[in-house]
Amino acid sequence: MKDLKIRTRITLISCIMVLSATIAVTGLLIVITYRSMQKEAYAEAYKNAYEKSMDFKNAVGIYRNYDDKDMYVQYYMKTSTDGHIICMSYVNGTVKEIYNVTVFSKEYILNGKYIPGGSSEYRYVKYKGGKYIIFESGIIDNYCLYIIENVSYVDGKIYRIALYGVVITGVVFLITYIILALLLRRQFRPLLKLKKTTALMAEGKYDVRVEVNKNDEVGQLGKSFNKMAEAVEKRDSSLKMFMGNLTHELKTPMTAIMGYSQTMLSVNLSEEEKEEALMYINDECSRLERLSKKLMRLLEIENNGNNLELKCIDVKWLFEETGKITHTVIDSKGILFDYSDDGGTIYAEPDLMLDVMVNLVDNAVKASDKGGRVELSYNNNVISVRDYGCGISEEEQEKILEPFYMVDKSRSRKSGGAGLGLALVAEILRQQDISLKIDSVVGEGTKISLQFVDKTMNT
Amino acid sequence: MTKRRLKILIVEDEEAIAKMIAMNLRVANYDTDIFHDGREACEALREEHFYDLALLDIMLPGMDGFELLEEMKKYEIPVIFLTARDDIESKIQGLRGGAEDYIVKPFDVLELLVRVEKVLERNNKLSDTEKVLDIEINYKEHTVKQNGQEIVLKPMEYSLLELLVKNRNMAISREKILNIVWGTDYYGETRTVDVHIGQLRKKLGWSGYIKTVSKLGYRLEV
Repeated sequence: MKDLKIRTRITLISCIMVLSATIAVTGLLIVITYRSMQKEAYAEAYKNAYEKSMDFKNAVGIYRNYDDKDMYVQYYMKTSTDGHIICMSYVNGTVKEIYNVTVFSKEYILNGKYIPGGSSEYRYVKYKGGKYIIFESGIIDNYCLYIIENVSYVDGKIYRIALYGVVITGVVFLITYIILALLLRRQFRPLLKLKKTTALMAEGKYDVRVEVNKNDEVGQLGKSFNKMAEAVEKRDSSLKMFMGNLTHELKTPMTAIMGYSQTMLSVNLSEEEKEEALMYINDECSRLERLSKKLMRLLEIENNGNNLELKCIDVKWLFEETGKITHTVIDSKGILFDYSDDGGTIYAEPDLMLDVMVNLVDNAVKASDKGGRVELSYNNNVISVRDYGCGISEEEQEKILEPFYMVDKSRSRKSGGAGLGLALVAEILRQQDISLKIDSVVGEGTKISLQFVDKTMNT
Repeated sequence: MTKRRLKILIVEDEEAIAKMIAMNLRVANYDTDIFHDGREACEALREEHFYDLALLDIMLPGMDGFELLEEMKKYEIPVIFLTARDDIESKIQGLRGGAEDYIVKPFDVLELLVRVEKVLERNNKLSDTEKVLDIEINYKEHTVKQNGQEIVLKPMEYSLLELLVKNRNMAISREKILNIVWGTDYYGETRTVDVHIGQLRKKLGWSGYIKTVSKLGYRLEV
């Protein structure tokens, strides 16, 4: 039973239930029918017997004064009855059989076994496979009549009806089975498809989907499956992209380091060339280090997403700290750093928020020309970082939050970027339900706004 | 010597890598031009396109390597792709597109030089004879002349000489020599290399030129 398909199991169980119901109903019907038929037959038999004994009474009345009464009675029996009567005379304590052409013997009638339930007037008798009712008329002028009524035909009839019942039950069972099997097959088809699709997905084909054209449980399951498949596919492709980008980002410095070190080992370089090669090796090594640090940070943040300790942060403090951390970058480019706030507070994780701000300011500085301007401001639960640098085109605005995406590759590499800053920012903001908005015009600058949830509205 | 030094175009957005390649090509006696942007390279090509070979990155700002390949074909410049992309699709696209070779980063410098040389050879950019120090090698006939006198070299000695000459000023490890000349990776046979180097030094009188570089191998210093 365990190994059977659900479809087969349901079919079998249903069929067994239908079968037992049909058998019960048919059986009950047969029993009721049998009873009523029996009753009818008995009533008929009783009526017959009564009429026969009445006829006999009338007839005996005529013979009453005849000497040879027995002979007349015998004659009467022979001519006027159908042979299912036994006549006995009771004279002075002796019993004499007057007339008997039935299968029963005198002794059987007087001592025979009777079916319990008979009364003194009639008895049920089973005799040589037949069923009979024997009526006793009582003494009529020294004579007693035993009228035999054969009621076997009732059984025969009921057997036939029972046979019909069995055939009908069988047919009903068969039809139920066929209809159920077909119906369930139809109903289970989407489930089977889902099973196949799941197997495909388990093998790594994440682009498979199931067709959903019903809204029942299976349809809903299909919809959920498709949603899941989409999520898995998206996750898979973003992971693949991440890995692809990561390898690319790793290969570039590795190629340079390998190449320069091999060159230094095998070629007689001038002092100047040697210095240059070493400088490049050093640069690429620190680039690798920055990349690994950022990666570690990203992983750390992704893993700690569930146990963030959110606090009230003074925006003024946040801006001042950001300024302290980024001042070397800001000063090196001669950027004018300006911030204004209305003395408010935000609700977030302080260290991560500082990470976000530093990354945003860093990007703003990178985008700015020498002597440019970067502004931080806060009002109405929105922190914004504004620069007047090169700006970001609309198509690039969609991509800049992806890991390893760089607006200007050579420029940001020179300024020490790994392409992970904004991905880090995006991940932190996502965890804290802070939304990020980019307003940028190429050549005019960029404004990045962080919209915080108003906690006074929340409570 | 060749009539003119061969000129190789490098288009690579990573400055460090571009300079490293150029440094090695210069040592191997090639001239180089470097571009960091695909479009800039493409525009410059209109003015100056007498390059014997181009080494192209695929992911480039401005214009990608596959597009640049089409430009190179116009000027019949053979192309080697030099890229971090090691997926089959890119390789097929590159080679089907008409590139001569496809090298995945990070690469071995000597391997790059050997492949460059092979591509130049296929495109008949190399002259058949070359004069190095006091000898003249005929690459077609596999013969070596010193002061007009033919020096008889065994086949393996000749191959070794060719490798040293073509990668002059660059140290080559015994393992690499064994791999390239004898086509074997069997470490234990590096003795064979030493024996053949000794033979070459003796036959050519090059003891001063073929230097032993400690822990590394040998270098022909010119």
